[in-house]
Amino acid sequence: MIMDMRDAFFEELLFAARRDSRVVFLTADHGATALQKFESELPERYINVGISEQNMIGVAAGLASSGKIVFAYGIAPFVSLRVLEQLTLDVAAMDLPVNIVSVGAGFTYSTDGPSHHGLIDVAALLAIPNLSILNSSDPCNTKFFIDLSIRARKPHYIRIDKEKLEDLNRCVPFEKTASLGYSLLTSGGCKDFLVVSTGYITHRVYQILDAIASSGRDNFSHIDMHQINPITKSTIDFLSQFGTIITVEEGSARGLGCNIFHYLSSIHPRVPKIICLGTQHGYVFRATSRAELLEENLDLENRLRDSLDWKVK
Amino acid sequence: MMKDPHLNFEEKARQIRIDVLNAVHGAGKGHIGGAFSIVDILVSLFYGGSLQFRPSEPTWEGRDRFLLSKGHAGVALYAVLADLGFFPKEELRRLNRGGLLGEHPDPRIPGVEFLSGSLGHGLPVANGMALADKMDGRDRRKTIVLMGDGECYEGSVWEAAMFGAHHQLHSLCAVIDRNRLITHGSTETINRLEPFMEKWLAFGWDVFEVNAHDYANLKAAWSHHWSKTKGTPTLLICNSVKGKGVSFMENEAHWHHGGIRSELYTQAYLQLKE
Repeated sequence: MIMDMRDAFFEELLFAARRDSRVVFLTADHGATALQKFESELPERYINVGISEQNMIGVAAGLASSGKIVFAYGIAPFVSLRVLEQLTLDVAAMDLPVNIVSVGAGFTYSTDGPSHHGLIDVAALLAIPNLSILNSSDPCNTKFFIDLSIRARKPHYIRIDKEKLEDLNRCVPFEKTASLGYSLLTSGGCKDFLVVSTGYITHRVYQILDAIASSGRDNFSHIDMHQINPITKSTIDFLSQFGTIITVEEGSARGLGCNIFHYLSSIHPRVPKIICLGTQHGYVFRATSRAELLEENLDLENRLRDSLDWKVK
Repeated sequence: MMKDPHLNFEEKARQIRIDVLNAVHGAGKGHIGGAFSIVDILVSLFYGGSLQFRPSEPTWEGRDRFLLSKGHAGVALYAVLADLGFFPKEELRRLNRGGLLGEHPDPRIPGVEFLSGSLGHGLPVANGMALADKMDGRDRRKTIVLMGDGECYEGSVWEAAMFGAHHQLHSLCAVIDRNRLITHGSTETINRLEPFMEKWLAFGWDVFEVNAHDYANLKAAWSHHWSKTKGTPTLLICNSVKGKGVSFMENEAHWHHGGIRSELYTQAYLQLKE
């Protein structure tokens, strides 16, 4: 299925809000076509707070402490970096069911410059204890995040995309492994390399690996990791079976890559070699398409091929 | 909470100030100036009979919500909560020494509604609580948030001020301890807050200016708020004296935070005992 990721998320959210009167939606004046239906059908639970993200997170915390399940929506840097303290103290430290819905991962807002790029949100938020971070890569897992976050009744930061994306080609149906936090996309013949990607860029990684596999090479596997934090015990056990792990993310490699290293080094006795691929330039000023910025700042195909050429011990 | 018709508010406040003084002296240091300036506000609110709460059941569903957004004055709230029986008074003697009570209120403490310490958080959260009550048709219950005047330098306060008025959160009352001093001096010489009342009026709040140490004044303000069933939120500017109750601490910015030498502690104690 090919679907606009915001449609996938917000249609599912409307279904959930119809079923559960505790669900409240807040936005800091950011919209989406799929939200129009929510606003017209449940206007009393759709609140545009205006361009005031700090107040929005405080309001979300106050609503949640009064029994509501809140989804608070905005552009990635504004609902992460700008409200870092509100997320830490009002939401995560108070352990409230507030779900931050963040659109604009990586270079989504490609021509809008560093103010709108979502390159360090994950890296920054990983330092907040008790905040789960989910990253959507296709309509299938995007929809799943609604049910997951409502059931968990915990603080979440949920990245959704604004592209039209196709469901990933998983080795097993998503429902069967969703709770693990990752999906297996390519299963190699041996455990030399594991490529771990997350979000939109998983599609590009899959294409590159598919081309490499067609040349006859099969000593790598590939997973899409939708749950960046916390990393489950089963995921750690799975990761630790490989000789080398290559992480790929559309943003600072101090996000997913560092978190995998952190978990493996602190929990598991055996730490594989880890190569973290992320954006290589801190601030990107050139205004051009997402595809071009990805190419320039990740140089993905070359770096992925180079990484897979590391000698296996 | 039932009102005690025989309660002497001034006497209760005197006792609370002594508890605060002892707790801060025992801890070695603390935010005593801003704690003393809010004691009468807290006593009039918690012992006045309007605010609903149950010390034996702190999370009782029917309670009104009180948030101390100027969390550094937590010791004043602790003294009141201990006196009301939310937790044993002995905890005051262990302030900042590994017991239940730290410098800033946290939700582990019975009677504390929300974490505070960093300024500018309380009003947005209180907005959310009052909005939830409005959505649920339960807005007869009140949400009270006590802030410092220095806290109003934070931009989030004004984001929240717009929101509360726009959504006509009539059950919400923001109380500002207007003691006119921040850590290093006067609010008006460091970064002017005036015209303070006009700012809140311009944001659409129902504003009252009261004497923070006059119980008749405070009682009238609470009565006004509790009788409200619609309209815009209430804003009480409580003109207060930082360090109120101890002559050498009054209106002295350097008593914002610090320790109390033994001879000064004795002087302060004797003044409060009189």
